[in-house]
Amino acid sequence: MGRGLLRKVVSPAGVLVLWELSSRRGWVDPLFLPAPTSVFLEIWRLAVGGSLFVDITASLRRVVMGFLIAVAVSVVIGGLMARSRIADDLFDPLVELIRPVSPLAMFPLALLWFGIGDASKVFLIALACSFPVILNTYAGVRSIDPALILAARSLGATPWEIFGRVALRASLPQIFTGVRLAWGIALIVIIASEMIGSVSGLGYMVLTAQQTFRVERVFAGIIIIGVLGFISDQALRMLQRRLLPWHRDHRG
Amino acid sequence: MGKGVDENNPVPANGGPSTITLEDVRLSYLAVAGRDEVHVLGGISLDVRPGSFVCLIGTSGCGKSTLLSLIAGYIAPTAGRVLIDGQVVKGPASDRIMVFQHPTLFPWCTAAENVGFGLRLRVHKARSGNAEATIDTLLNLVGLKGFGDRYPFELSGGMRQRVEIARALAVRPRVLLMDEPFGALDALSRLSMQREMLRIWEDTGKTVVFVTHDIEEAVVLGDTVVVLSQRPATVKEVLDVALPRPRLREDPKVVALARHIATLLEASF
Repeated sequence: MGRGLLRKVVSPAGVLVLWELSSRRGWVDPLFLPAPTSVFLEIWRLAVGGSLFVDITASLRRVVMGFLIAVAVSVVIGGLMARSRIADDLFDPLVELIRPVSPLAMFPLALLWFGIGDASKVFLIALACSFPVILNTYAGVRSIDPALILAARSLGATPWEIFGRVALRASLPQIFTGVRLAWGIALIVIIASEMIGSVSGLGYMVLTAQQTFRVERVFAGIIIIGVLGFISDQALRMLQRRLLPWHRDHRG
Repeated sequence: MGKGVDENNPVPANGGPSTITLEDVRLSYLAVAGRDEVHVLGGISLDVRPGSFVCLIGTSGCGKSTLLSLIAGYIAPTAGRVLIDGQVVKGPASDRIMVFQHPTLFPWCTAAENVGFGLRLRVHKARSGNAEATIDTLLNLVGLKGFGDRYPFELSGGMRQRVEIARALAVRPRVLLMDEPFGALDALSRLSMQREMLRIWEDTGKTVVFVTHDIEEAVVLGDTVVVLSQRPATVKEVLDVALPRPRLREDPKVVALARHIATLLEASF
């Protein structure tokens, strides 16, 4: 273990110790700032009681469904927009009009249409995740070396084969950038929308904890949300390395 | 010499190598709207025998690459006809594959996947049989045995050009169109690629049209060297190189021919 690592651990550890002390010693009201140890104890209790698992799976189920729908549809739409003038003219105005609207502004509408269950969140996440994937796919396909398209065509590829085997494959690194952006957005949207209208999920858990003044549970929820975000982004990075071994040289 | 198709041929063409006929091919275009037309090709007629190795040589910018694009079907002539085995060329097709100076390998495919790219397309799938075996044969043919799982960025310039040639051969073209394929290589790789190219040509018996601005390369490789004039390009002379292969650059007969071509090219300035 080098000095570098030691230095990196010092500040978070210091914050934790200070936090623990100020709560235990009563420097701040533990009702508003429960000690880290009681927060971790709360996480443990939630995990053992089983409700943590229920809330995590509820949130993840919605996020993954909305996210997957968005990626599948947006890659095709973004790619078509880049390769076809007609598709560009058809989709671009819609994309540019809906994109600036905050997805949360549309949540009341989603509730009205799809109810308080999963569907309203899936809809909203799918919508919010679409734009970064569409825009990045579009940019990726647009920046392909035309010589590659020509080469594929002269080998006998049909326009659809060129689309699937060349255009989308060549743009995978940029598509992945969009996918990772979309995942980050999905995590924000799910928590917020579960706070506004839901009866399960991590956002719901944190909000009800706040309303019932169980502050250590609020902290527990925040920490779990952070850890989930961190782990899932690492997983996406790993997937990226696995799927794009040829791109290693550009990544440096 | 090119032997045409035989049983030992690792990649037979469909129906053997093609005859290419150019009938008074002309090409001009408007560079800037309203200005005068630019005449690139000024009436070129040429017959390429099946299975022969023809080198096109001319000063840079004379339109030799344009001529190749016409045979490939990437562009259409303003006047005249381009015929492959008596059929007018209407567009690109995989019976004529172009190999460019800068390889256009798919960076996300390994060498083997690049070679197999054409085999997995719908047009070739039905008759590509055992694709893996074909890919292996082709990688051996171009001297890349054991490099199949490398990505293009892991290969040298010469190796990439070999993969490019193997990828072209995989779809069993009847004509190989090569646009200064070794122009971007260093001198040593270039010499070894010229040797390799002759070997591959002798093994496969394709019709090859090879554009170069290197006079010695043209004389060392070609059955025929077609000398083109300055723009608008016309055929200055068609030389049959009746020298046995392998030919050495130092061979007095090669030197004499090269000097003759150099004189022709200089006269066109």
